[in-house]
Amino acid sequence: MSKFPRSRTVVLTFLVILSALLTGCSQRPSAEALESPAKEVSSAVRAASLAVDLRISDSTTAAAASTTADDMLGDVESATDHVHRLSAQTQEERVLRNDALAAFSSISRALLHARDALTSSSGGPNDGQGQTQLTTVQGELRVATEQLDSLMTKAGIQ
Amino acid sequence: MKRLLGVALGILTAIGGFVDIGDLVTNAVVGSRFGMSLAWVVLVGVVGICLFANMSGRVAAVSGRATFEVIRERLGPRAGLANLGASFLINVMTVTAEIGGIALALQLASGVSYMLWVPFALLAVWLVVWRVKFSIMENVTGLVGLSLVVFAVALFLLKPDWGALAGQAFALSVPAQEGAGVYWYYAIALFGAAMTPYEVFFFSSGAVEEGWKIKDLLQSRINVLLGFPLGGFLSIAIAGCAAVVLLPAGISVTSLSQVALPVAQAGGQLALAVLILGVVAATFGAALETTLSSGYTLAQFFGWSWGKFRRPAQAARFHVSMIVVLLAGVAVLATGVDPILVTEYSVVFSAIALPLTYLPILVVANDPQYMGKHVNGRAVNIAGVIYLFIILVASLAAIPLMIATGAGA
Repeated sequence: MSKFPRSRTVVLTFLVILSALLTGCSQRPSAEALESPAKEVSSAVRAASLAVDLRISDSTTAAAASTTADDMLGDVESATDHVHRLSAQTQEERVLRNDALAAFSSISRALLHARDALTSSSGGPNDGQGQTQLTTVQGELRVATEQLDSLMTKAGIQ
Repeated sequence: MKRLLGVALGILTAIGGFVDIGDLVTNAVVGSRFGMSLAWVVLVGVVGICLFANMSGRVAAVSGRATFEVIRERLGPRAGLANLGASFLINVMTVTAEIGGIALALQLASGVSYMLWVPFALLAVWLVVWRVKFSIMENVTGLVGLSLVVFAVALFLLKPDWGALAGQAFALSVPAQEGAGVYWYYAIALFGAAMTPYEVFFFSSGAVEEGWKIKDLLQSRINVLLGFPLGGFLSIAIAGCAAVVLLPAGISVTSLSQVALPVAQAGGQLALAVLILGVVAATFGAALETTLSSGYTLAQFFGWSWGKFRRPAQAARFHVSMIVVLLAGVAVLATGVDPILVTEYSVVFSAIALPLTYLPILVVANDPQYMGKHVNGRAVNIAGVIYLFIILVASLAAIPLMIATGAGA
């Protein structure tokens, strides 16, 4: 047997194994598959919420709080990418994935507003406008958190 | 009096120098996910690093030779080269993580993206490695790093339920919300963070840099036996802060900015400022140590002239290798990889590579031809063998656990 067909067989075997692995690894949007990204987003929104609380009470600086909001936005984006990659095959799976993406999108928006408010306001008890902005953003974060919590309960994620 | 001051300075430097980005991140991650249930690992790690540093410091003081010279001599060039490859790669990973840590701390202070701080961090580390005397470099970063005591102060200010924290620490069980695999994966990560090999390369090479003799052994022993456990106490305080504030709030640490939240909650902006100062000092000090350790390992293995006690022109290859390592670290960060992720992997890989450096030192510390009357005593040997077993188990279990748990996800 010549060398060429042998190497082709090796390449083909490798490709077959790789495609089998990729097919096997392609996850579907079950509660189990959504658990990790949902928890990541839940943790991120709570951390940003705490940072805003601390900024409202003047316990942290604008730089530190906006860094937290920015970092958390990165976490939510990475979780969103993860959910986008899940391949829904049934109507139920599509609904679950879309609900998760909608909740993540609300949270991303709230985090963006939080970051902007934290960056623009000088903060502190004497900055009335900044305080109002931060309180509004805090409300937005709470609503988004509740939306995610109810989704997690509905999907059976602890 | 001068000697007493020297001992006090050594202890303070050891405390301040104990915590690096690996300890900061891993302890905070563990505290936010497992509460205090992995505090026992810090204890095991601290005893291990005391034992390891004590043996390698003694070998350096008695023989005048640092860890990698001993490794090459004991293992021969071929096995020594494999050892060098693994240790060097982990050193580069740690350099990357520490430079990222400096930049992240500066972002926390300024709000300016950490990527913009990376070149400044690189330049500052290189300048200090190039120009500043070894003892000044070690003492200043160690002493300023003591600012991280703010974690212990914050923990007290948070007024936690001490009984509940102690209960978590002594329960020795896997928390209900986490799996056993993830628990043991983070146990290995914490162990690797406490027993990072670069600390030993730096410690033993520092002994040669500072010209330790046998008469200095007592002082080095006191530094290690008091300084490292107190540094371990700081690690536990970091986990404690996360366990008290972040765990009940459902926040899992994924970034340095989250590590600062409990401290800001407890002590406000002043505590936050002290924390940032401490993080910059701790990561900067560790970046210096890891950069030097990379130069030490290469130079000691290949027999190049090395040491900061020599002028750079007399140890050119040693200095060039450090510049290359720094540039490699910055190149990795420039890809946009998350420095916290690099940190998390670097502590686990530290645990994997630990037997490579631990075993030769244990063997040499037992060799009467090498050590004369300063060979390991019976108690040290028993502890040494027990730790060899622990280190081997951690090293062998790390990769399977990393794969099985998706790196602790």
